[in-house]
Amino acid sequence: MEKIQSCLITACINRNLVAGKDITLLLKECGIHEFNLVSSRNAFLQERSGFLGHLLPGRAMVSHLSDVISFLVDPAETLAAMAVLAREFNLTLPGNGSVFSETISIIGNNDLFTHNHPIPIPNGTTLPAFQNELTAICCIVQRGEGEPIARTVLQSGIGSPITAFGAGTGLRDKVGLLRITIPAEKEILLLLTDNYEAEQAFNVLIDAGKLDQPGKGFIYLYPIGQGLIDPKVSEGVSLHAASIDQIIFALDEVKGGTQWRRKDIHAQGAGRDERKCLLNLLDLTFQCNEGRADDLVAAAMAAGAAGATLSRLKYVGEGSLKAGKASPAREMGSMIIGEQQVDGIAQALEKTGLFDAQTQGQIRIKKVTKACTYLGKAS
Amino acid sequence: MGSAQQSTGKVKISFKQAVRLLIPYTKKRILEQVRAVTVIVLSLLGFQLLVLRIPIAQAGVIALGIGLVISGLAFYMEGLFLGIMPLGEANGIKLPQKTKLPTILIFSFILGIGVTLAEPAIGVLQAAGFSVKAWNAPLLFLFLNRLSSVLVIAVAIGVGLAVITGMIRFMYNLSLKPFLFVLCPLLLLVSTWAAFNPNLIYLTGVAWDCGGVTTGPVTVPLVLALGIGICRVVGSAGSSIAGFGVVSLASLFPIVTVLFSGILYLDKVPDPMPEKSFFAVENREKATYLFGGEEGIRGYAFKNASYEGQLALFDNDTSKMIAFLTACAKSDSLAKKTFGATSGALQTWALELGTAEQRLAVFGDQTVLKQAMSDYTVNRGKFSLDIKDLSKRNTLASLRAVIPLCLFLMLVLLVILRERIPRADETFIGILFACIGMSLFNCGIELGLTNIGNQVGSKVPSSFKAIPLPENQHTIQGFDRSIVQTAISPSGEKETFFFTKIDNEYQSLPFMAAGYDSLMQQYTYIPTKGPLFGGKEYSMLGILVVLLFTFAIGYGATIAEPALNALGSTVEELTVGTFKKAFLIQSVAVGVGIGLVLGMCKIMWNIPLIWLLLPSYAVTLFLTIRSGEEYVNIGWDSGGVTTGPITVPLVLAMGLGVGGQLGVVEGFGILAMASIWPILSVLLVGQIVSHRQKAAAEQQTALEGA
Repeated sequence: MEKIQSCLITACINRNLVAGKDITLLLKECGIHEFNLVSSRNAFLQERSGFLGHLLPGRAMVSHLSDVISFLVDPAETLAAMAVLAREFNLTLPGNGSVFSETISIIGNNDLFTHNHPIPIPNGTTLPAFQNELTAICCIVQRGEGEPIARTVLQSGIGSPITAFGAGTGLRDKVGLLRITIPAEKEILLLLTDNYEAEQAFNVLIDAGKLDQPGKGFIYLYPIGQGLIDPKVSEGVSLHAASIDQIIFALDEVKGGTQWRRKDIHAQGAGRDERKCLLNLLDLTFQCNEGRADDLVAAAMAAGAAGATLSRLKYVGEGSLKAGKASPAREMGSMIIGEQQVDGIAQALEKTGLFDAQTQGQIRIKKVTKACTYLGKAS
Repeated sequence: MGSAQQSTGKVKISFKQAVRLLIPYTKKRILEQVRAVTVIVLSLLGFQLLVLRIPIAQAGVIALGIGLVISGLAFYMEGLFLGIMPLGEANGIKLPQKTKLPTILIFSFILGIGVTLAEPAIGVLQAAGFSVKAWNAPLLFLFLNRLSSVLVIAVAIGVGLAVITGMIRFMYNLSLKPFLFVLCPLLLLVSTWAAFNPNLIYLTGVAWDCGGVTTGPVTVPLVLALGIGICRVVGSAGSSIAGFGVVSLASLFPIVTVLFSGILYLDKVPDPMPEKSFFAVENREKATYLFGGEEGIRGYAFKNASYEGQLALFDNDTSKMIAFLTACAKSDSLAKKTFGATSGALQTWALELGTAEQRLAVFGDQTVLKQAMSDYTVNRGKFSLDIKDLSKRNTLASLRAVIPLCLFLMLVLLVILRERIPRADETFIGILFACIGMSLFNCGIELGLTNIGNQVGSKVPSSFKAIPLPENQHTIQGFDRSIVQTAISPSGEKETFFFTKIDNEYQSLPFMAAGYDSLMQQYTYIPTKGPLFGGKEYSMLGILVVLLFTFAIGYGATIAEPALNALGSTVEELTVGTFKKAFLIQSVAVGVGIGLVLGMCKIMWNIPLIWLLLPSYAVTLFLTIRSGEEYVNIGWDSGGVTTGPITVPLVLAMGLGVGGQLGVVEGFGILAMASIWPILSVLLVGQIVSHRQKAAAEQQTALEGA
């Protein structure tokens, strides 16, 4: 099936930034007319102040709502898109959000989904120093398990995970009505790091969520292009003239990158057995109008997928309310598959009507470096 | 990955595996409800056993009732999330996409009327209005009894209009605030004007309670899911917390419609007046209108009026009255029409409430009378539990509440929207669970919570005053007055008493001349209890205990409410976990507790309702101006959600118990306070949270200056 290369820009924008203003209008000002929005939360550590601070020592975890916007641009306009977003939402400052780009392949009806054309920032303004060599780690766990994992990640200083809700499918759909006894609700955590920290972050997440135990979840790691990652981990009353985030930001500028932050990779994990991971994988994500995802996942599973994680998203684009166009209420299903399975699954989805007028679907594929989960009682 | 699981078909699950799946699933849900119900059960039992120190009657039945409530709630909540809410949301998503605005509005109106007729909760209000006397509040009496269907229709129209307005709000992305700022002052104005009309003032309390009471455990989640579905399609991208606000309107609109319908009937009913004038000839026509006929007013007079009132009905002619009674005794149909359809209603009335003369007229001669009397005394007080009738009644009510609405939604989805029902098997089992859950839950409430609530509620005033305990009364047959002795108190007062043997123990009981029936030669002694605290009547400590207990009831009952549970889950889901369900439930529960305390004050000190409502609404509206749209929507919805099937019967039992002892005309309005205060508390909490967020955001902008 014909695959088209494209660039997916994802931005995580904290809600209090845009308080009161309609994010659609702000994005239109940047030239972004068509995007998907997933509601997520972003967590930080915060010193407890006042009376409670004396009673309960340590830092509380505070969550803020954030919007995760994703849209397509022509690969040549990647930097321009990220620059205009960084300017509009002040993403160079810690605590406002992150933005990153990925190269993906698209299978779908490209009449419907067009590339956005970001309004370029005026000449002369300096482009923000985008970080290269970034990795994203995505971790899917049961509802309720996300918070302890987020706390561990924050306390180790790696970064602040972005959490969204989703629902899992897989074995539970094969057991008939008994599936109501198996909880489907999931939390999807996304953590952005640079390549040096990725391995350590990967291990921290697995240990925090015990993801190598049966039924605890699934984690995978994939490379992303350039971006600006929010380094902020804690908020609150600062005890010194500058907050640690300001210092990190200033040093990043001075040093021209984030390599200075890398921790000695030999200090951790010494003597740890090499974790058994799955390789040669792809992430296949399909999007469709609300209500169609169940059939599509069933078809994909019949074609060999193990299961999918479904989440809801909002689609903003041209003329979306009319029938025959993409509806604002959409779902997406993301599944990790082997490289050889792509064509089979894509065809199964097409046969089930992914691209018809009712469903208005699209498939996005990206490479996954490795994945880890409970692999059975392997030696 | 995945080559091993090439299976296309189902996986076979053995029975043992199925059980191993079902057990943690059931356990989790039952435990969740146990935790929800704990506070209220412990409060009630604790108060009865530890404070009042009265043993719990029918303890086994109550325990069974509580068990039914817990399992019923577990089933019902599961049914809501599996079946009813997804159905509502599926409708909501497809409606704006496939139909035009007029169709959506018609659908909304029918839905609004449907949810009210399904869960009228009118029985609740009628139970509350039980103590209202026809001559004290004629208009209220009319609406609670003969014309209760008019009341239901008025509320239904109000809810229908509310749902329409809610949908228009969503479609055109209008804020809830303007609607509140127009509606609330209008309602307060109308209520204040109504306060000047002697008839309408009593109807106001019911009007304010109506809206809150009828948005019940089926209405709220359904309307919520519908709103959320619509907002996912129609709403702006920025607000993920859209779809709330319809429940708020559904609690406010019915107030207008009820008061309006009151105005329509105003000139047909007599004004409130003393009992004798009510039954006098000059008011006969209007008074009879309240009952729909001669037999109605006569039956009511006999059962509820004093002897003077009854005489006034018969134009002050004793012989006329006696002649009528004799005619009743002879004609079964006349007796049934006047005294009620249960067999022996005439005789029961005569024995319980009739004067000696009336009894004679009914029974004919002394011997028959004496026999009937002894039979009655023996059989009275026996608790009869009619399980079949109870379960049949509750099952029918729950089916009526759930099935028609679900059928309507499914029909709209299949026929008008031409969509498949998403996950149909889960939907059907969800609806089944909801029906089962609701029946169990209603049975359990009747057997358990209402039972203990009534027991406690009627005794609560003993905390600050002496109350009679009629169910502990002793009746002594063949009483010989010669055994009565005299005792003298330290201050020189003489009191008469006598000795009696009860349960193999010799006791002394006071002798009061009023309790002696010389005709039957029997003495009836009704013990009194209290005041338990402070030594004197209306002591501060006693009243404080009552208020604390009221708070505990309000708080505990709210935590158990299923509709609030559904609201909280939805809020947590939509805010991706930043606004936790437990947090919302706690804020609302505290608000309800405070509101109930104020409502109890209204009953105890007979403060006019409007004095409490006006300041509460004023503060709430002020906070509404200052709060963000999301908190306003969620907060105002919380108000409509709280007065549900657990809170209302308990609150009414308390209100009636205290009010009955204090002799207030009507105990309404306490629920209105329980509806407004949770809104206030949620808005207040919202202010605190957004204040903190603003502080954090200000730190952010301080960084940007760098």
